[in-house]
Amino acid sequence: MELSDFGTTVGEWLTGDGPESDIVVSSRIRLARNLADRLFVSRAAPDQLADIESQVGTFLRQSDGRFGKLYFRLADLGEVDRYVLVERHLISREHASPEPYRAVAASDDERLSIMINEEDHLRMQVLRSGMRLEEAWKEIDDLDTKISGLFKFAFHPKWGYLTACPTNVGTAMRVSVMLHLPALVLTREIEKVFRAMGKINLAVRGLYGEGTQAYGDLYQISNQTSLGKPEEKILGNIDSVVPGVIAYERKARQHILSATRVETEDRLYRALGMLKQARLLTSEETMHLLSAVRLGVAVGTLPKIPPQAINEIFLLTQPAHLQKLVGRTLSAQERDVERASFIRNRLAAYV
Amino acid sequence: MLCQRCKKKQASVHMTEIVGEEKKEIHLCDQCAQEQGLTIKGQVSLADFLAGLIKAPVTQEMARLAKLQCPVCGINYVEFQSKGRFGCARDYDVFDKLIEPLLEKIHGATEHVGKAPPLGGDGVQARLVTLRRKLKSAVDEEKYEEAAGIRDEIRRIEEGESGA
Repeated sequence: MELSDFGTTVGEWLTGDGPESDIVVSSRIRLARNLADRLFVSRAAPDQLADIESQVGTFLRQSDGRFGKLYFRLADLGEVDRYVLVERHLISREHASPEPYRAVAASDDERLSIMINEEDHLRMQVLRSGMRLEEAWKEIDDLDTKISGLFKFAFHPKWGYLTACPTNVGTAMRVSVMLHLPALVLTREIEKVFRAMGKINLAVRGLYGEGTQAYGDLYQISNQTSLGKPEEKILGNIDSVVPGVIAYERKARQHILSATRVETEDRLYRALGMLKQARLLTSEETMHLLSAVRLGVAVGTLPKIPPQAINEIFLLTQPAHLQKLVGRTLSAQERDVERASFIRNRLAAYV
Repeated sequence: MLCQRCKKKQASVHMTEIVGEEKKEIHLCDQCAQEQGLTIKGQVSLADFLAGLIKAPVTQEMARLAKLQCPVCGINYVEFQSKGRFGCARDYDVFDKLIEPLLEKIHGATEHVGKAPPLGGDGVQARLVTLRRKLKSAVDEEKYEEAAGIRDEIRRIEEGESGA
C-alpha cells in the first residue's frame, strides 16, 4: 500500500462489513498522549518538535513493522495528498498544514494511525468498520502500552494523561460511532436522538454539514467527558446506548416502507437513477443520493450493490481523491463532471 | 407609581430602608436613582454569572493565583484562558487550584480512575490510580468498610509522597 494507491482503494473501515454495518458505518477510538519533560506542541520550539517527530517516527517505522510504508511528513506532501489523508480520516484538517514537524503514520489497512505533533505530541486512532468498540479498544490499548514502553508519557496521579487542552485530560480518550440514520431523518425523529444522547452526556453531530442537517444522513455519537471514569466504562456507555439507536432506526425504516411505501421506493429509485445517468454531480448532491441508495440496498428495495462499492463511491469522489484519481487539479465544474463519470462507470458493474 | 423625586417618570427602583424600628420606602425612576448615587443591582444573566465564576477570580487568593507563571514553559493563566491550551505538563501543578473547578465544570469529575502508563516513575502513580478505581467501585457496591480501608491506604501513600 502506498500513497499512490489511495486514489483507487479504501481503508478497512470502509469495507462495509462488521456488526450492524447496515446502520453502523464505523467505530473509532482516539487516544491523546504527550511526552513527559517536553513542552506541549503550542509552546515547543520547531526544533524541539522536529526532534520528537524524528524519535517517534523512527520508532514507529523501524520497531513496529506495521507503520513502515505509510509514514508521511506533511511538509513533504502536496496539497492534494494532504487532503486525501483528511478525507480518509487519517489526519484532522488542522494537521493538513505543511509545518515540518507534523507527521502521520498509518498501518497498511489504515486501521491504526498516529498523528505526531498535532494538538498533542501523539494522537493515536483505531478505525474499524461496523460496531466493534471492544475489538478496537484492545488494538489501541496494545499500541498505547507498546509505545509507552519506550517513551515516557506526561501523566499525573490525580488528573491522568495530561493533554494540551483540559477537555481531553484523564483517559484522553474520545470514542465515536458513525451511524447512517436516513429513516430517522425522514420521519423527523432525529431530534429525539439528539435530545436523548444529550441527557446522558453524549455528543451527536452530523458528519458533514451543520447541526441536525447532516449531508448523507451520517451522524457521529461520541463521549463528551474523558475524566472520572475508567476507559471501559466510557466505552460501555456508548456500547449500551447505540443498540437502542440502531433499533430505533430499524423501526423507522420499517415504517417508511409500509406507511409510505410507494413514496419511499420512488425516492430510492430516483436516487439510483440520478447516480446512473447524471453528467454533473456536486459533492453535496452525491452524498444525498448515496444515502438513499445505501438505504435502498440495505432494506432490499434496490438491487444488491456491495456496501464496499457504495463506500468507494463515497470516498473516491470527494474533492481531493477525485483529483488524485484524475491526476491533476480540477476546477469545480471539472470535478462535477469527473465525479458523475466515475459513478456511472462504477455502478455499471452492478446495475 | 410615580417617582418620588421628579414626580414625572414611573418609579422602577424601589428601596426599603429599615433603621431600627423605622421602615422607610423609597421609589425612584432610574434616572433619579442614578443621580442620587444609588447603585442598582442589575439583572445578572446566568451565562455572565458562570463566565464570571470562571474568568474573574473573586477572592484575593484566586487573584494571586491568576498571576502565577509556569517556571518551565512561562505561560500564565490569562494566556491559557485566551488560547485554551496549556504549554506543558507542569502547568497542571502550577495552576492546580484554578484547574480543579474548570475540570469539574467540563467533566463533572476531578480524579482520573482509568489506565496508567507502565513506566510511572516508581509505580506509585499507577498504584494510586488503581486504588482510586477500587475505592469508586467499593462505594458503588456499598462496601463501605472496604472503601474506608482503601481510602486510608490512599491517604497513607499521598502523605508519604508529600513527606518524601
